Amino acid sequence: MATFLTFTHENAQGVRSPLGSVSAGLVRSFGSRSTVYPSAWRYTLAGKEYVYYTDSARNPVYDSDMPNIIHLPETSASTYEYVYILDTLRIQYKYYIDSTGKFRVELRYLQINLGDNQFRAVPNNTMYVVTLDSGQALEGITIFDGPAVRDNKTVDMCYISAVVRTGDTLNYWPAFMSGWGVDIFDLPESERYKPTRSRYIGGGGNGTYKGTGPEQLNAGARSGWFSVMNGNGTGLTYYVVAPVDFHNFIAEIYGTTLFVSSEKYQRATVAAYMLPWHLLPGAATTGIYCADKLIPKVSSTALIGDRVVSYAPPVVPLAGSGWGDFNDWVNTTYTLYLPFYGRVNLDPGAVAGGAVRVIFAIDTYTGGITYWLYTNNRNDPQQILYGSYSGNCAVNMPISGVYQSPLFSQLSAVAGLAAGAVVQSPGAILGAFGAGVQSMAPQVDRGGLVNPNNNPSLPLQIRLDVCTKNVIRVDNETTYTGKPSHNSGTVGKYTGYTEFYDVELDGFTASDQEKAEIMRLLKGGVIVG
Amino acid sequence: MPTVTLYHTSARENELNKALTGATSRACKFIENVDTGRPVIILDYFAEYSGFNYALIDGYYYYLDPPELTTGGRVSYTMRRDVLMSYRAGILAAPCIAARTQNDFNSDLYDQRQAVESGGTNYSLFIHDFSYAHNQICLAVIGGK
Repeated sequence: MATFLTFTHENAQGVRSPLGSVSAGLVRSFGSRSTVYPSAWRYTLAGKEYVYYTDSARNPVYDSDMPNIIHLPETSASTYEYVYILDTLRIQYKYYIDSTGKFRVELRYLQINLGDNQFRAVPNNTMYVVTLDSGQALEGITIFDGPAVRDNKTVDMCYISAVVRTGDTLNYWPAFMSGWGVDIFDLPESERYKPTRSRYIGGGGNGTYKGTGPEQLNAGARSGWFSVMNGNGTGLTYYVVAPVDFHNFIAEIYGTTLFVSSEKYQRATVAAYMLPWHLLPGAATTGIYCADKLIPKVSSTALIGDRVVSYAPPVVPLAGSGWGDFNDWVNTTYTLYLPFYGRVNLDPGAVAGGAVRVIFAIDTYTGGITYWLYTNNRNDPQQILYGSYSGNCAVNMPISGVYQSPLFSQLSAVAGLAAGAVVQSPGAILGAFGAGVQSMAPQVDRGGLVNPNNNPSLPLQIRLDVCTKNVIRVDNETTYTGKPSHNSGTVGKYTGYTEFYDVELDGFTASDQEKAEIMRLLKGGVIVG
Repeated sequence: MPTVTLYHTSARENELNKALTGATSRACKFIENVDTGRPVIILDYFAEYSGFNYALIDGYYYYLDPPELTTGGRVSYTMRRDVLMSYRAGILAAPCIAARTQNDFNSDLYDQRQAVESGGTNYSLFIHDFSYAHNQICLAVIGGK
């Protein structure tokens, strides 16, 4: 078998030593990796050298445009195996949270295609398990080769995208292309375990993602935004708290355990909401301040430091019908669904055979979310700003609704009623007290949060739906009927079957009848030499 | 006496450059008062008379109708001028705009003859998942630190 891949090891001092090569046997095992970091693995594929190395923290780092190289789990403490993919990878994982709260990925099978459409099982293709902390998995964001999985098993370019909760079992079938994994097809249950189905999405060049990878853009101040975060009572302070701390906070300011009158603190509570984004943890604090008062029972994991966070998922190449011709824009529709906004019907001519790039930014103070959609089509790599769309992704915590019971305990005290007499029917009490009671209610949501509160029930995936009609092609179609041309020149420029719009037949002598006959034949289609 | 070159061709009528085989030159006569676009020629009998369907006379190409045997032991062919082959050089040099071509086409142009089924294939590309399951609640207060 031909040698496809050669490996070289480079130690921290830059000394390289060859390790061997890989034939089409797909898997190469190596022993003894240097314990001095950083060190590098270099490999040469099709004449180009790539570097796979580990940084000082032993995190794997890859060239952004490297071909698919699957770093299989270590079979022993000193043995490493690599699988290289030249064309298409079929892989199936099972994701779930195990009983210990760890996020687990089981590799069910792995098949690769070297370009000949023969899918070969990868040797030692039994079951590999990837484990990482659930908090990291719950990002719901692509895990390519990141440190989240490094200490256990690394599955390169694994696209994990799911809301996972303890006890959930999700099955996805990532359909990798040669390059970054960009798509996941959530197949019907009956098809999930069939290794025969693959939907190859061509277009966008050779499918290799050439960008700098998923990136966190401008985490922090963004021009045009002002910050109102200012401690010490002169502005708003945004804490990030866990649900139990939020519960404690509400219990404190609506209950009677800490304050004689907590209306001041209720009014100082401007907003409480959840975002579909994992805010970066900061220094944990014990006790937070509200209206300059320390509430010791409430811990916070962080202050929201970044008014605006933005994120750019990978670019998605689009083929459309797969024919790579006018069917991509005549017989194909492209619909982008943006959570918190809705559907966007894309102009097929703007995206067919090109790529779409969605970038979004979330205002962490209000939940406002803005999408920027960039597109290009097959004929022009230049991306344009197709549109921008905005919505609100915050989910307000229904403070006055959920915590009615302690609230009405307060009310009953104010009204001089026995608490037990009113708890059974808070609605009736509200009616009886009328406007006076309503003025007692804390005025929350003054942070500009206007949005439906059922956001979590809505589809939360940014997805691009492509619907294309089936095109019927027959053998030798162009030989019999040609394809649209609209080119000029002389008749002799063309070869094979050709139909003409018009031909200038005044360069030679023939009768009118003969020229009419010639024109009829040329318009009807002739076979030019 | 004009000379006719008889051929056999299996080319289609719309071929600009027809492949000709079996060239046989023979003396012929035109019958009187014929249209040069559809002349009739008379030849002395020869045994292979039925093997030809194409002819060249005086630089013009003709299709041959099936031959007729006439009185006096002659063979007669009614001919029809092939304007494509006869004026081929002029046609090839003629400026034109091509509508459909076997080669040199533009696949981005809409093809009205494309057969398309009403049904089709749908697929989805998932770009990003949002999730609220981060166990994080943002709490905005006045008078914090």
